[in-house]
Amino acid sequence: MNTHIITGFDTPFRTRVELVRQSFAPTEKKTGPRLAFITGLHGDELEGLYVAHRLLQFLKNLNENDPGALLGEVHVYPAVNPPAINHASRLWPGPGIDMNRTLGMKHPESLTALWAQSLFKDVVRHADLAVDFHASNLHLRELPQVRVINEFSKSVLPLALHTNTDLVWVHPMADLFASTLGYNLNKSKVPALVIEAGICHRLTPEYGNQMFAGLVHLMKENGILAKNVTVPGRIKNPLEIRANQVISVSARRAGFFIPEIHIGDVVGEDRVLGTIIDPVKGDVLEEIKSPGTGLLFTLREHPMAGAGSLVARIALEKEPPP
Amino acid sequence: MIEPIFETVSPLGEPLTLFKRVWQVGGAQASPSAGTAADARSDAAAATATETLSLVTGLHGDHLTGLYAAMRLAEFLDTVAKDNAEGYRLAGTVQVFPVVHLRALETGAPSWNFDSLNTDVAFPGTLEGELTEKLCNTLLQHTVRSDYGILLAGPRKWWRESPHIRLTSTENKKQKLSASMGLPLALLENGDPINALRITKHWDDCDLNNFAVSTGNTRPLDRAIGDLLFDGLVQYLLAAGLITHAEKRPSKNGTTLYAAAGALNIHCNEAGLFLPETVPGKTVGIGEKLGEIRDVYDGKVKEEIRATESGLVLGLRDHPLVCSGEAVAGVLTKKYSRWSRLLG
Repeated sequence: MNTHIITGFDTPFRTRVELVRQSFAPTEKKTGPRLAFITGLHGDELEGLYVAHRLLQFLKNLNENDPGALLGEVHVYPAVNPPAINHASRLWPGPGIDMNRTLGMKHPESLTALWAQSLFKDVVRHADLAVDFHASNLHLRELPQVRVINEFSKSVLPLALHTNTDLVWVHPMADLFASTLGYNLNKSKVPALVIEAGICHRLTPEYGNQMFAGLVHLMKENGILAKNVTVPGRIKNPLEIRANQVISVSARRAGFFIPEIHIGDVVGEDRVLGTIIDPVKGDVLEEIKSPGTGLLFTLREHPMAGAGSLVARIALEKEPPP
Repeated sequence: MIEPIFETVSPLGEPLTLFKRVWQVGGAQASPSAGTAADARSDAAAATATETLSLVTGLHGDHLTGLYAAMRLAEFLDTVAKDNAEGYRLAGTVQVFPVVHLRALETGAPSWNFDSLNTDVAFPGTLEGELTEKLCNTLLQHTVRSDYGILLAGPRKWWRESPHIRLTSTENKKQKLSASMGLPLALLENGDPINALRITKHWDDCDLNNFAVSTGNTRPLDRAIGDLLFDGLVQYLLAAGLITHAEKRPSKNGTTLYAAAGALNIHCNEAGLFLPETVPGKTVGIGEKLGEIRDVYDGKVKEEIRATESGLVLGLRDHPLVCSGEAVAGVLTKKYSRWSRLLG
């Protein structure tokens, strides 16, 4: 394992913060494809850091015991936003900048944007495909999924199906994606898989292990690892869904959401997903039912919900008729 | 009239209401109804004879200078509407949105800790969603049918800036009207993708003659700047024909336009305490000292920050603790010309 410092800065307190890449190269001169695994863009999304740990452990072990099995290069960026991670904060502390909204700028000004640009350039230089790993926000838990913007589906979708996620969600472009790492890598012809799994501020080892197995599988399928490498776990066939297969279920009343199902359940139409309660008056304000049959892949974990807050997403197995 | 535009309750059942103030010629209290951005265009032909300005502030909770200016304007328009404002008459509709993200304003923080969303770049928002998204969408619905839009916003966090106009394009009418605010500086924003999420971009899409004003100081409230902005808003209303006066004419101001893309950001090489030795709005020469970085443990000067080109200081880092590589000063070096785009 070679440790590379891509960029860094000194703090006023005589400490130094560095952007680290851990690289693994094959023993043979001629190399296969190069994979970049990036995580920690939002400092409160810790699920990916566990996946990075498993990946690094696996690659170090491979390097010692079966170095010939590594056919391509693997570059792991295990914690790309250390200032935010140190504060378990989504945003770069201080100026409060979302690092994953600073890409695509012609003239980056802030240290955050310059840092993000250094990362972006390094990934573009070192990778033929990339995985940008995220957890969800404070409110929702997500089943492991790849999110693919329509315009990149041709190059990204075949890769996404090898990642061992529960689903692959192909959705339309929106303005907010234009300043993200995933979008800009794809624009730069580095197919980038944006994975969402779990929830921020927490680790879900079950998801982490699933995604680690997915990465090994992805590397095998793309000639980065030899075919004889064992995938640590069962590989799933992800459900491939389009935007019109996703039903978002929102609360109509404000209160506390109490779920009555589990993420990953296949729910039938009219199945009760949970209730909205009034904790002050002791009333049940609303019973929330599933509007269709499908896989529950998003579930509200933060109990506080306003009217209109998302409480669940359900993936329909088939596209509804137009 | 104070008109509720958004009502909901908190998870504990407490009511939460967002208001706007509206003044209309003839004293009628009806206001432009909310509509989608698409409606705004199709309804343009059916617009009334009078024109409407939407003035927005309070997107963030830590800058109240815009809110203060809006409050003073509300007080002024109340007297105009009662025909006792020294000869001023309403000739159009003005709607003022002094508070948008009330949860952020409650905490004095830029954003609400429940979602950490930067309201400035959360447009168009959504009809259904978390509170911030709904507030942004509500605001947009209530402003897209206007003819004019002004956003009063604070400077970037931890920076002190010269109050200035921020334009998204250089149309003549837009420039002229924005100049009536009387601020000496205007900045043409660059085309960064994040700007597509600002309300001004959505106003552009709906053909509002609009601009944003950076209110400059990082302090929560700078009354001097607020008073300056209030005077500018009255001049703007005169220039736009939304108020009239028998004798007073809009003052003619010279506002110099610079392109944000041509601004020079001066970064420090050392970390420490940044102590500025200049002020925003000052013209500096090449090599002139802008400040210094000192070591927090021994006070020794680690670096002198100097202008690498001559120009006008737009802003300075206000929070003194800086890391190496951070921008500490922004200097405007070249005035905008229509050729600068072609010639790079």
